[in-house]
Amino acid sequence: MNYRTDRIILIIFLLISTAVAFLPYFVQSEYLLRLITVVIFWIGIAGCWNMMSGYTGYIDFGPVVYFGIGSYVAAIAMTKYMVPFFPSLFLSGLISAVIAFFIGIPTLRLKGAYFAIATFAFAEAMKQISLEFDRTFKVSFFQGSDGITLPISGHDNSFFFYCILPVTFVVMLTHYFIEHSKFGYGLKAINEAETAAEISGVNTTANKLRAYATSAFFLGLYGAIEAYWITYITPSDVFNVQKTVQMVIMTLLGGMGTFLGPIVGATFLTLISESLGTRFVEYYLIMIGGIIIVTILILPSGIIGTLKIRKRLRFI
Amino acid sequence: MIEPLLKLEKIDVAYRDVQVLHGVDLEVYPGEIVTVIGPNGAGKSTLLSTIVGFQVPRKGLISFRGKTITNIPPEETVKLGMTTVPEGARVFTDMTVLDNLKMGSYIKSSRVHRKESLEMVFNFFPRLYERMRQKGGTLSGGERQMLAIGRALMSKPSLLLLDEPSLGLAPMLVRKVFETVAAIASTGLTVLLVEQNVHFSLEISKRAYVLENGRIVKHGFSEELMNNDYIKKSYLAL
Repeated sequence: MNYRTDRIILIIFLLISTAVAFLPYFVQSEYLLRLITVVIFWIGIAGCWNMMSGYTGYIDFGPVVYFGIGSYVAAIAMTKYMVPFFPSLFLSGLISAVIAFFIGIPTLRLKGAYFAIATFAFAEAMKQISLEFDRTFKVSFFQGSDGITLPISGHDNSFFFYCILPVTFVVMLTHYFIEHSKFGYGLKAINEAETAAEISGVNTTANKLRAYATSAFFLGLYGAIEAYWITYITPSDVFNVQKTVQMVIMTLLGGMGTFLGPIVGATFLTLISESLGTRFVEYYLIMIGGIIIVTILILPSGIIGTLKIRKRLRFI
Repeated sequence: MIEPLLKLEKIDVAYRDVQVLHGVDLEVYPGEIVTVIGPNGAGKSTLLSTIVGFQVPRKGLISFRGKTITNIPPEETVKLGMTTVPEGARVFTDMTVLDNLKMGSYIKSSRVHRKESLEMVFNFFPRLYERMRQKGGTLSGGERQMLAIGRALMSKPSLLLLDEPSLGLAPMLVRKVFETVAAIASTGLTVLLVEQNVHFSLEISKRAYVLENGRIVKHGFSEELMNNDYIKKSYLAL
C-alpha cells in the first residue's frame, strides 16, 4: 500500500532511462556501447517472460518461439518482399502476437508442467517447421538450415541501441501498468488461487491470453531487431532453447513477478558472464552455474523478490 | 406466489463415468437462509460448484432470477449477483487483506460501491480492519474464513453461497461464523449454505435439504427437520 515509494521508484526509473538514452553521445568505446545494448536487450526479453509467467505463475517454457517468429517474419519480409526495416519490425510483433493468441487458446487451459511442456513442444515444432518446410514443399521461403541473410544495414551500434532502448522502456512501463491495474491484480490472483479469481469475476482465460499475446508482441520485436543486427539467422539460432533458459534464469535471479526483477537479473547475469567470460574463457560457464546455484540458495525468491519480502515492500 | 431467486430442476452432474448428483431439485427464495446438509461425499460441494458454473450439469436446468444460467461460467455468474465462498476459504495468500477484499469487487458493477462495501465488511469483521495491511497468508484459519466471506460480500451479491464455512475451525469460532452468517442474512441477503455441522446450520436457516448419495432425500422447514426422528438419529446423534 505504499504508493509513495511506487511513485519514487517510477521517477527514478524514468530518470535513469532518460540518462541512458544519452549514453551513445558520451560513451566512446564501441565495445562498452554494445555491452550496454546487450544488457538492455536482455532486460527487455526477461521482462517479456516475467510479464506472462512471473505474474500468472504459468511457466512458459517456449517463449523463444515468438522471438524466432519475429526474426523470420522480419527476414522474409525484408528479403522476399523488400519491405523496409521499420514496417517489417512492426509486422514481426503483430504476427507473433496473433500466433500467440491462437496458440494460447488451447495451451493456456493447461496447468503446471503440462503448460510448460506444451509451450516447449510448440517452440521445438516451429524450429523443425522452419528447417524442413522448404524441402517438403519445394519452395524457397524459410531457406531451411541455410538460413537467411538479411540486407546489411550499414548502421552503427548506436542505431540498434536506439531500436532496443524504446522497446525495453515500453516493456518496463507495461510492468508498471500491470502492477497498478485491475488487469495486473487479475493476473496475480490467477497465480495465487485461480478458482478464487474466477469467482471474484476475473475472466482468467482472457487475462492470461492478453498477457501471453502482449509478451509475444514484444518478443517478436526483439527477434526482428536481433535479426537485422546480426544479419544472418538460422532456425537453430533463433529458436534456440538456450534463449528460453536465459530468460527464465534471469527472471528467477531477479525475482518473479516483480518490477525490478528482470532489470536486476538480466544486468547481473549479463555483466557476470561478460566479465568472467573474458577472463576465464574455459571455466566461466561452470563459475556462472555455481553463482546461480548459490544465489538461489541464499535468495530463494530472487534478489528483488527476497528484498521485497524482507523489507515488506509492496512494489519494486 | 413469490418467484424463487435460485431454482434447480432435475440436475444430474457427473465426473466422467461417476455420477455425483441425481435429479436434484432445489429452490431458494429471496431473503431466506437455506441449508443443504449431508455426510461426506454426498455431493454437497459439487452442487455448489455446479450452481456457480465450475461444472456443467449433464441434465437439468438452473435458473437465477428467472434467467437460465446452466452453462454460464463462474466469472459471469458473479456479474449476475451470485457469489460463493469456496471450501477451505481460498484467500490470496500473497496479497494484503485489503487487496483481497478489493479483488472481491473486481467486477465493474461492484467497484462503484467499493467504499460502502468495505465499510460493511469491516463492520461485520472488525478483525479484518485491524489486519488490513497484513498478507492473507499470515491470517489464522478463522480469519481466513472471515476474509473469504468478506471478499464475497464485496461483490454486492444478492445470493451468497457458502461451502462449509465451519470446516477446520475451533468450536468457538464455528459458533461465531454461524452468528455472522445469520447477521449478514438479516441485512436482506439470501444465503445458500452447505454444511456438515447440522446443528448450527439448522438453527440459523429457515429451510433445509438433506443430500445423501447425490439425491435429495428430505427437505422442509429447519425447525421441523430438527425434530425429525431420522435427522435426530443420523445427524444430531440424539
